[in-house]
Amino acid sequence: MNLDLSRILDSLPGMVMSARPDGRVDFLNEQWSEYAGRGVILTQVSELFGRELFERWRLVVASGQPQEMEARLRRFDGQHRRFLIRFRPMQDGHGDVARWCAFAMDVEETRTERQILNHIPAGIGVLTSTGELDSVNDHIVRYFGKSEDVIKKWASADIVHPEDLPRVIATIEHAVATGEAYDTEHRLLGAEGNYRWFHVRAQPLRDENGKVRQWYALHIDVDERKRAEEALRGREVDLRRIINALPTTAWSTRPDGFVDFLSDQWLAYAGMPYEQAGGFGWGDVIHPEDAGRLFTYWQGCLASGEAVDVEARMRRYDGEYRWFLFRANPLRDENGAIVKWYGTNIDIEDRKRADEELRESERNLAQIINTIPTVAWSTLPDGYTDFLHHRWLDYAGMSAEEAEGWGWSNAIHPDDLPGLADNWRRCLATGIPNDAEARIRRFDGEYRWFLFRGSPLRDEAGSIVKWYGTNVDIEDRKRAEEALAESERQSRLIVDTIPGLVSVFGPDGETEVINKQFLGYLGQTLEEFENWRDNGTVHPDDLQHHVDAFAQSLTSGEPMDFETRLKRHDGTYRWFHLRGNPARDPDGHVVRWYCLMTDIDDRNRAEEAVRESEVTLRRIINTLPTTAWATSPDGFVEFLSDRWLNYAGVTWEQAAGFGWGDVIHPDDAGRLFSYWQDCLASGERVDVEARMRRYDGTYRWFLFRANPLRDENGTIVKWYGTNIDIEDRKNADEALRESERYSRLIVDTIPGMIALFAPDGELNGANHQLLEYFSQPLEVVKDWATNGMTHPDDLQSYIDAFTLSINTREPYEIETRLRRCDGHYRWFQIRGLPLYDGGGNVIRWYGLLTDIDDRKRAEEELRRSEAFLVDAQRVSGTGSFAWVLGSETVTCSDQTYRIYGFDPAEPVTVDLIRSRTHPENYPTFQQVMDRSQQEGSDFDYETKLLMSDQSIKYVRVVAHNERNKEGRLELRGAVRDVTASRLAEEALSKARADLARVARVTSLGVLTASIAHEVNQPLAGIVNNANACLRLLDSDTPNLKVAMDTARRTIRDGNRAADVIARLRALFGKNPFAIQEVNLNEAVQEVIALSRGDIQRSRVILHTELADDLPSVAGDRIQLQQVVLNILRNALEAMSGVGDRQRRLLIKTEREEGNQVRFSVRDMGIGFGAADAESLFEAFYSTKTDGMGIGLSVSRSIIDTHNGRLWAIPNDGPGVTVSFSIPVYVRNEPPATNVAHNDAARENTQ
Amino acid sequence: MSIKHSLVSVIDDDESVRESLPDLLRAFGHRVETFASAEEYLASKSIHSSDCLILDIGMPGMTGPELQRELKQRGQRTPIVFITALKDDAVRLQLIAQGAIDCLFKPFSATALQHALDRALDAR
Repeated sequence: MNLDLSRILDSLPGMVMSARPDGRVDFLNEQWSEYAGRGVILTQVSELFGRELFERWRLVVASGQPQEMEARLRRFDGQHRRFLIRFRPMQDGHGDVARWCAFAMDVEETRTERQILNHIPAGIGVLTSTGELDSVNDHIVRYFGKSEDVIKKWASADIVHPEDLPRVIATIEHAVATGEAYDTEHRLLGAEGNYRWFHVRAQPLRDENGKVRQWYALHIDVDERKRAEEALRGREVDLRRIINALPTTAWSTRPDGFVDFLSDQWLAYAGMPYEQAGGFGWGDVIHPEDAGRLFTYWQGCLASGEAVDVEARMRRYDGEYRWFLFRANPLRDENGAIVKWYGTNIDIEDRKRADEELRESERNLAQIINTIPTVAWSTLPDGYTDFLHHRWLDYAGMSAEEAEGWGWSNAIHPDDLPGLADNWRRCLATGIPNDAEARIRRFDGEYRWFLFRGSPLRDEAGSIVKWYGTNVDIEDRKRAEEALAESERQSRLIVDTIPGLVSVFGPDGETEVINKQFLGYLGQTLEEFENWRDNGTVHPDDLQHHVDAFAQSLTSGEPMDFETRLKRHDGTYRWFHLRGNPARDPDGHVVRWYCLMTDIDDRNRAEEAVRESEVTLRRIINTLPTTAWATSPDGFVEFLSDRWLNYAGVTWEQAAGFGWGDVIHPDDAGRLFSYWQDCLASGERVDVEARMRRYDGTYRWFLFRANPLRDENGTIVKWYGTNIDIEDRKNADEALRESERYSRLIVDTIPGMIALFAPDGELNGANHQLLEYFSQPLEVVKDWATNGMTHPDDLQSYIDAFTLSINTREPYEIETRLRRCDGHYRWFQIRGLPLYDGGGNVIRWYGLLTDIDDRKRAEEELRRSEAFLVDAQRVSGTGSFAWVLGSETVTCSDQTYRIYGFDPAEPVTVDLIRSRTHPENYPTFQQVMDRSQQEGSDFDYETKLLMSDQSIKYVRVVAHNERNKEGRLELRGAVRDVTASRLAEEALSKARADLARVARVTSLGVLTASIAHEVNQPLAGIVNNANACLRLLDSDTPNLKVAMDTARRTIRDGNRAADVIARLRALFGKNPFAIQEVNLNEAVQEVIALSRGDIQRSRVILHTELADDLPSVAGDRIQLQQVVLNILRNALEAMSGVGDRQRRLLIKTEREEGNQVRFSVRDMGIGFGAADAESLFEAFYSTKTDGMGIGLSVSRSIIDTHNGRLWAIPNDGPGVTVSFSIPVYVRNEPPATNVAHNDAARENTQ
Repeated sequence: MSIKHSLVSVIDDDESVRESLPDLLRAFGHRVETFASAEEYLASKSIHSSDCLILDIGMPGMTGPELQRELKQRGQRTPIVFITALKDDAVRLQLIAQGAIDCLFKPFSATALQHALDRALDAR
């Protein structure tokens, strides 16, 4: 399978497979193999496909035809999902199947959705955005009994009921146009040929742009409901008719009380149209007095669902209100929820009235029964007496049988009987009771006056069912009445003429006479007044008292004397002073009360006002947070406020007068009383403190304050005073006093100076020490701000700080110089501390002055020396530092910061220092860090810094490592910028190197060549001239002149050669070449020591392996050292370009076979390649006067002179090892010498 | 004798050689021209007319062997006798191997010079 094609297949959004013609799968794309799991084996198709699909697959293969099927495929995790799989054969040219391809699409989800869709117990239709039917679910298919395809082809008219069609079409068109969801009910023609009602709800499905893509229409079969509704509607119409025909009102409401039906009767009664009364409009016809109650009740019923049973008045169309009984019951659905209320209103006006009357009669009955201590009776409605109290029978001496019916009339005085009978008949006829008086014969024959009082009892219909009555013995009263009749007449005259309100009462309090003035005042008739207890004549507030007092007098016979308010004809109450006196008969019995009412309203009002104001005052006084009292001018206490009494826990009675003295503390009493007496005598205001005992027995301090009140003559009429609790203040005072005592003690004994200041900052006290220091009295010291005591330089800042503190009440601390008595200023630290009282107010400032002069001077000294140090550091370019090992930061002096160019604001860390270190020095840095772990290490090294501007700085670091006070290792040291000297040194060393190079050039081998050259030149001239001369002279015609010239030039060149020799002798005369015994190790160590600086600068790590038992060698020590130096320098130069590895140098001496000693230097420098190796050795012979060549050639010639050998070989690793071997020194053996000969000179001298 | 009229060019930075050698060479019967440097010689007409070069090895600027290579490159086959104040047989042998007639170490004898010149002019 081509790779790219397989990629394409892998990226398809589906699973792809291919198989051979025989059905063996040979390819799965990424998706399929992922789905099936990586471990699946292609050839096991039965496993890949599953049994079912595998069987079908075989059939497909056998058929050779494309197929499409749904099948479940096993996922790697064992789950099965449904796929739509399409198999397709690829045919070759002959029409044979060459390959099978399959494409599988996961349809699990769509299938599920579809299943849900089809199982919804409702029809679902999917419409296109234009309203065309797109698809329907099974439910709809079943309803129509046709396949989906057939249904799709239908027009609306085919299925929608003709009556509903226009509405349905309009609805859908509107929905399609607007995109709004729609909701219709219409009939659809089902498979059975019937129309059924459907409720269709359609919702648009929108794409991400909000455009309607599809409509989903839910069809719910509502046919049943619809039919039920129809039926219901029909029934309702019937019902309504019935209801309206009923002789009662009827109504119904919704569960919320909204009236949705009122029967015609109701509407007719109220004279309202339904539109007005429906809903909540009916409320208007309810009697205003009943409305509130009715509505509340109705709301309660609506909430609770309890049946309604309530009465209320409803207004009839003509405006008259009638009582109705409202009755209603809720109608509940099967779940028990209320769906409706049905109710009726029943007119109960008539019944109600009867009730009222009945109640009235019952009241009367109660009255009668209440009066039963007399005698009672009852009769039938026609007056036939069916009951007589036994006392009546006893009184009359009759049996019940005798008295029954009309028998009782035999006991009535014949004179009174007709009147009584008439009255009684009238009562019976009218049903209205009427009192009557008549004499009844007692069993002993004596007639006594009785009051007859009867009352009918009615049934519900209002008919009298019985009469109840009593007879009250009024004989005595009657008699007294008669007795007084005369005097009464007299009195009336008087009474009526009295310019006061007069009333006369009988001995039992019954009103007998009211004079005209009184009646005029009351605006009542006598009859009306008789009811004074109930009719509001007496002010309600006074009524009880009035009645009680009145009754008491009636009972006791004591005169009446009380105040009461009586209502005037205009409704206003006025105060009256009622005085009543009894009039007694000769037996002393009270026969009448005469009462005179005096209008005291105005007086009373004034009094009332006073009382009110007193109450107010008293209330005020009692609520004052202090006690109050008043005494008479002689000190007799007339008033003590509640607070005072509460405090002392005594009653007013106990404390009044002079009783209050008991609560005064015994220790204070004598003093207080005498003081008080003095004040009383002198009239001076009272202001004294004393302790008063509290209710719980504890004494507290009080401030007694009082002022006399004088009248216009200046005479004291009263004392008014208060006692103020000062216990807390007193305690605070005490505490303060105590603290002050204590402080004073401290102040005077303290070895320091103390000053006291008033809250405003004024100096008002100082201890002995302070005054002594200044040697001035306090008065002078007070003016510290102006009298020069404070150093002028410090004065302003001191005053500022001081003033600020005084204002803010915050403590202060300041240092200032104060002049001692001897004129010296000394430094003082002044600390000011405020002393607060309980309320947080400053009551005093304490200033502590501490002499800090010595400390200050020491400080100054220190500061100066520090300044010196800083200067010294700056001038010398030396910084200091300290670092506690392992800690983060390194403490550095300013100069160190400057040297390293660190930001002064930044803390210096080891890493920061490292970052500043030149990369070349990292090994050194690390070495130092390693060594610093060792206690007691000393460091002295140079390092190079790479500054931020890329410039190089040389610093020398000297440090020592030891334990600090805390016992931790601390590295302390100095850093000195040695850049300038280092640069100078480098320049110097370069110059030295140049010189050395010159020295090398002139040394030995080169020297010989040089000497030869210098000498040979003139020699050549001499030889040539001499030869020319000979030839000239030897010729046949000698040219003497030219010959002489050549002879002269010979002499000149000879001199030149002599000059050269002389110069050479001068140069080398002092250093004759001398072979001697040389300790090579020592010589090498000397060279290393000389080169230490070079080695360090070259950042080379030097190792030495000098053999201990090395024998001495024979040679020139200086020359050998020169060779060592040369080799060493070459090695350093060779490593100067190395940056990627350590620059290591090994110097080694060892004994060699053959009585030789070998010296070698192994570097790790650039070395030389195969080609370079040639040139290196060639270079030994080159005439170049520079670089390695000459160094090595000089060295080689020196070593040659020592009968030794010099060579170089590349290392296995980087670098080269250059070595030489020379013979061991042997005593008494002349060293080998190597003398150069000049062949040419020899030739010429021959 | 044609030899007597051969033109010998002496190139040496040492003045005493330039002064002493022409007299000797003329005594041998040659015409002589002297040059203080190789560059001077290359700029002269003698480059085409010289029959022999007496050439110093060590000179500032272009050295003797360098001039030898230069001439070889230019196709000038003028025979060369090197002279030098530094005695180094290796150098001498190397130069002879590279085509020089001879290399004489200063100070050299008149015989050695004449012998070398003879060979040079014979070789021409």
